[in-house]
Amino acid sequence: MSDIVIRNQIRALRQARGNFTQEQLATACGVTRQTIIALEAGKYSPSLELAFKLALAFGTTLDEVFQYAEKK
Amino acid sequence: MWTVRRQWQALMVLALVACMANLFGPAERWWGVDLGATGATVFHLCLAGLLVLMALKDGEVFPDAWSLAERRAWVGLVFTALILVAAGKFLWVLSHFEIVPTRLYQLPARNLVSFIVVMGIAWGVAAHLLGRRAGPVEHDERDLRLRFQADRAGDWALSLTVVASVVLLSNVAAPTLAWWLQQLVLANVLIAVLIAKLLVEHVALVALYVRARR
Repeated sequence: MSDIVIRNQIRALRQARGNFTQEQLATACGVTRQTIIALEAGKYSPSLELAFKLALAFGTTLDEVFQYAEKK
Repeated sequence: MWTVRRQWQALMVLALVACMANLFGPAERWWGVDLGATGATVFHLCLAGLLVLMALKDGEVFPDAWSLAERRAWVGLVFTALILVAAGKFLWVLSHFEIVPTRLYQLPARNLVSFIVVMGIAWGVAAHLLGRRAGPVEHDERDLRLRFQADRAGDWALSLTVVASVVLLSNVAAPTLAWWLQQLVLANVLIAVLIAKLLVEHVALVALYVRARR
């Protein structure tokens, strides 16, 4: 299995932008709200395309949204 | 007062019990009640009730964390399971015939066909009702990824069934398989295998959704 844990800051970035709801983020990225819920809960690793869309939606870079760490 | 979800669950349990009474109820009356006919009536009433509930309160029937694709997968799982049970029961009835009919019109399949038609219509209506609340995106990459894995489970199940059938056909004496190899029995078995594949896909899909949320 994968030795890398991917973490994301989606919830924090959303909250930092005030009224950016899961629904709005989902619409901006072309996914369902349930996928945003799964991403925020760390239950889903997105495709590279979706990862870029998320970064674009927050107006930031990929590495500010996603970070990886090696599993201990 | 019961919540909408509790009403839904109660209707679902009642519908499943009534459906089993309809399919497997004894031919004789039980305490003066025709279980088969009563089961059919109660089942159809419950089915109508479930669809009405879905039409009026579909936002409260399923958990919020379930995507449209997952909701449809659960609905599909119930309908395919019921159709497979009905098809299995039909094969069981056929096995009690002294001579299996050789022409399609001779098959006593009126009940099965009407059951499948009702299930098909109800399934279509349920899918339509669920789709009304769809947002701008109905399926996304997460749904498609899970769908792909579920389809693979179905393909594996079908492949294993074919391999098992080949092994059986090449190792078992012909007289033992005589009943299974009659035209219309074989035709019904093949249809049941296709429904079973669909059921495996739906079971795998809902299991994948449940696992993905844990």
